[in-house]
Amino acid sequence: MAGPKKHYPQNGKTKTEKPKPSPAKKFIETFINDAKRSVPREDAKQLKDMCRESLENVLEIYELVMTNLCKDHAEVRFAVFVILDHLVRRSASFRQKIIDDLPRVLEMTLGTNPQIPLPLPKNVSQDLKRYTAECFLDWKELYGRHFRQLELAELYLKECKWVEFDTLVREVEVRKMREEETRRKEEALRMKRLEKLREEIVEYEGDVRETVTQLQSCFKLLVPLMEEFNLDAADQNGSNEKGIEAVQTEDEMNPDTISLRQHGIAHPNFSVTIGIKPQGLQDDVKETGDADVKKSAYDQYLLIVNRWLPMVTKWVHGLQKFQGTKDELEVPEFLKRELERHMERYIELGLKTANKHKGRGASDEESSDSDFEAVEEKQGFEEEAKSDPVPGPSGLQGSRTRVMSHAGVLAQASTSSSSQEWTLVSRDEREEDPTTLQCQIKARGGSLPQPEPHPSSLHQADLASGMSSIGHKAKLLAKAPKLPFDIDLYHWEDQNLEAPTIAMVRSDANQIWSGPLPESDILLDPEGVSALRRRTIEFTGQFQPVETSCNAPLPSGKLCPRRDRFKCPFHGVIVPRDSEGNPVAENEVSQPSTSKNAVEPSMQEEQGQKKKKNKRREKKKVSRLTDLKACQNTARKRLEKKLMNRSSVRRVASAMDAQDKKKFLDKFGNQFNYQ
Amino acid sequence: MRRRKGSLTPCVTSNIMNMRMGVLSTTAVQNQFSIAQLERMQLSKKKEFEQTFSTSICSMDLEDVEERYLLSGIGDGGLFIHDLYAVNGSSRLTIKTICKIPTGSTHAHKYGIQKVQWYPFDTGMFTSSSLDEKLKVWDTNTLKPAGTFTIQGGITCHHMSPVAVKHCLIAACSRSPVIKMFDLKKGSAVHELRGHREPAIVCCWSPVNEFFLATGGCDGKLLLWDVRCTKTCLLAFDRKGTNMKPTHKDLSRAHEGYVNGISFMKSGLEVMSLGTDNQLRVWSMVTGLQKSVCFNRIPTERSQHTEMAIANNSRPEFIFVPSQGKIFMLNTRTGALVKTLLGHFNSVNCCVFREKDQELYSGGRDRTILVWSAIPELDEETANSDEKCTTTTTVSAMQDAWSDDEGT
Repeated sequence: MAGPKKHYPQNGKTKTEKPKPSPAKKFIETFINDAKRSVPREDAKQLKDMCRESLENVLEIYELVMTNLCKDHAEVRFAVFVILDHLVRRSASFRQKIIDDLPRVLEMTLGTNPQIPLPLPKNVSQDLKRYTAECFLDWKELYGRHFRQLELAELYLKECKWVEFDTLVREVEVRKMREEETRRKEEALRMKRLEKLREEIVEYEGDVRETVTQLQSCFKLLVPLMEEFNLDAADQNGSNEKGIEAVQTEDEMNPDTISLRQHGIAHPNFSVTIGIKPQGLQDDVKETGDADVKKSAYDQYLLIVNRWLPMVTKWVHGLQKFQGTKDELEVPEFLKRELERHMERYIELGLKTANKHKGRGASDEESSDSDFEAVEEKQGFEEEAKSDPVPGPSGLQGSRTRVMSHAGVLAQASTSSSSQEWTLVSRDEREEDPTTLQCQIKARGGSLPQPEPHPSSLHQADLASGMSSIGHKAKLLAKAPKLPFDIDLYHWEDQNLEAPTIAMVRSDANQIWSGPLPESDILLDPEGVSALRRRTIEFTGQFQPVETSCNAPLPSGKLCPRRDRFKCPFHGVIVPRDSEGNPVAENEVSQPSTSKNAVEPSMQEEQGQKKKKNKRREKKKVSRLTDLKACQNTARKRLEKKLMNRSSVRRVASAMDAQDKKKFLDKFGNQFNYQ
Repeated sequence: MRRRKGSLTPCVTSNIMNMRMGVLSTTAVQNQFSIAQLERMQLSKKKEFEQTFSTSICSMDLEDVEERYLLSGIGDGGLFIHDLYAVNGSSRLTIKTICKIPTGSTHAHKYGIQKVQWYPFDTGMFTSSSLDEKLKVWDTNTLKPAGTFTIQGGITCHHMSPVAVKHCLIAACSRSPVIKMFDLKKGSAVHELRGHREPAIVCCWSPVNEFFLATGGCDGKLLLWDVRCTKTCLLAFDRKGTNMKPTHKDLSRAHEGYVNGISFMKSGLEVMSLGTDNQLRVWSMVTGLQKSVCFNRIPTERSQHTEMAIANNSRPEFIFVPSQGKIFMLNTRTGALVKTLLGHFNSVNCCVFREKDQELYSGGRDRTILVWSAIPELDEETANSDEKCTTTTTVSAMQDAWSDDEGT
């Protein structure tokens, strides 16, 4: 009302800017995209500025509003109607325009035309209907005296369309009441849950505290506090049992200082540095014999990890969710901190790994004892066999060369694999891996035995010292491929082989004992003799051990130990994870796989295209409007599309017709008067 | 809008001066006045009809004698008569129904009314036709039918000559291509006009020549008949201009779709026809050719007859054409759209112009008859200027109301 008299400067500004999307258009588009339900202050200001600038702007906004009001999306219509209402209450020219177009506006917002129902989503369209009714009544109240169309519209809606404004307005009240009701119910539920949580806290708080105390005392027993250290003993032993190492550093070993010490006077420059090795604790266990304490600590730790920590975390989350008081929150938070601190301490002390090994140690030792041992390879046999080669059957030369060519393929494999022959101590295994032998040995304080010289090489050396010609041969033989004994070698020396036969056994349950098979049942192998001369070597590639484990966090607090190549059956695709099992972002991790790097440049283009596509998609997704297509894409719709499409319906109908016809003919086909 | 502003709007005082000086004739000045008023036609704020209609209003007719009683027929067979003179003294007038034949009463039509018409020379009688195959002639005083005619298949339109002295014929269109003529004196069908290929929708007598009848049908033909010679039609208007050759009568088409509205000019020299091809055409009765007046596209979907109204008291005449929810006010000479009357919420079926008060009555499917007034009405508030608060609200309705708290 306070606005100045309308004065619209006619400037040609808008005309020159026409190719670009005008500010009004941009404004309305963003407004719709945000699916707003009210006009915030900044938007109101923007609208005001635009409308005051020129009458053309008002008309443009009117056009935009009307086009958007006809869109098939209830949220779009709602947002547009909000603008419309805002402007109707403010701009006179806009009001006039809207009132002239009132039938259309009402059609689009109240759904007065049964041929044009309001669009989806349904709840929004219902809201829109109510909101429009409210606004319309307001307009009528405000401007009804001046615009007779408003009165007529009300009359029309009441008389012809049976729009019950009272009911609509009442509905709003009812809805508010219903909301209040649901809110109250939720509140009650919240209180109930909170009460339950409180009870649980009271019940288990003592247990948690007890566990913590137990673990604490275990720590006390295992690692005495600083005050309890007997420094004198440490001095005497040099390095004591508890893994404390005292290092004497004397700046200058002057005879003076020695003399002073001999007199029992401490030298001012004398200093003692005490270093504590954290891993030293494990070594002592056996010696000091406090395995029981460790066992008990381990139990407490497990209890914390598996039971108390999840429970306490649940308490904290629950209290936060159900809005518990601060005082209530204090206890579980304190407990959580305590538990975490103790867990950390436990891991810090290295008790975790120690216990793990202890748990598995016994069986591991046994199995490693009974398992395979490194046995010298049977080099000698091969050599002998080859040094005295039997001239192969002349007729079989062809097949033999084929064997050799296969062997050539194998040669590569065997040479590469000969360097990787299995030993107890595999070079591929890493010390960090707790499942490897190195680690086990290290954990026990032993050192890795030096790999012994390869037996075959030793053998060769001996031979070389003996005879040089044989040595040369041996060298070649060492390179030569080795084949395991098989059917072709078995028949190597048989010059006149008979083709193998296949006996056709006719199984007859009644006749177990039967006479010799008739001639007709014995068939010659279609491949003939070559079936016995041939060897197939399947080359499946080289085995590469899996190096990483899944590492996804388990509910027990541990990490998933599964070692799969690409995908864990429980946790999906394996991604790099940090020590706590949280996935590390892809770009931070450098991808070491060479194959990927090699392929990358060729894929660059495709990737670029994909990225572009993604960008476009993202831009679309910015909109807060409900995706109607996604909503409508229900299983029912998809099935309908398949089942109810014209061709399938026709097919079914024709099939049923044919069936009916057949039935009819079966019954009456032989009666002349029905034909 | 192709309206040339200023060409028709006169300067009132200068016109009066010119009239006094004898430069302009009084009729010319009168004409100028009425044009100026018609151009300002708008929804009347003072007059409204009583809400008594239960369905859409299908047909209306204003009697010619006094222009006082408005007859209207509605979609479920009811008939209403309103008295337009009943002034009650207050500034706001609700026009009341003075008599009605309610739906379902003994004599009422069973189905929807298609056309109503007063007897041209007296208000003691009126006719109505309906889809229940009956054409009824009513006695206004007793509100009972004095006579009933029947055509098989339902009557879509009927008309009685407004100037007939020598005959007393009612032409009636039905679902058959044949147009029947009933004679009120004999009380039976006397004639048949055969010329349409498909059902006729609309018929209209010439306001000048008592024997001329124009009919339009679903076949797109607009035929002119001389009822004395029923062997063949007098003219078949053709938009391509081949109408004069009698051999081509069968082929001539006035419109692409149906012809659903016919209206004669007061002079009887021109006839206007509305078709479902969204065109309004003017035909000359003298040459039988289409006049070169180009009207805007007038969207119409109705396959029933549409009643147009012509404001005859001005030169050029204005025609009011219902088109869906709007009424177009068109200049019949230039074809220009003078004004679009917006107020109905559903399609408009019929409109009637009342020359005395320069008022238009329009009825439609939204169950109301709206009053459009050309004479400027004094605002109620301006009349009673004591009510200041109401004045402010009215003013605010015409002004911007940008609140300052939204920041400038």
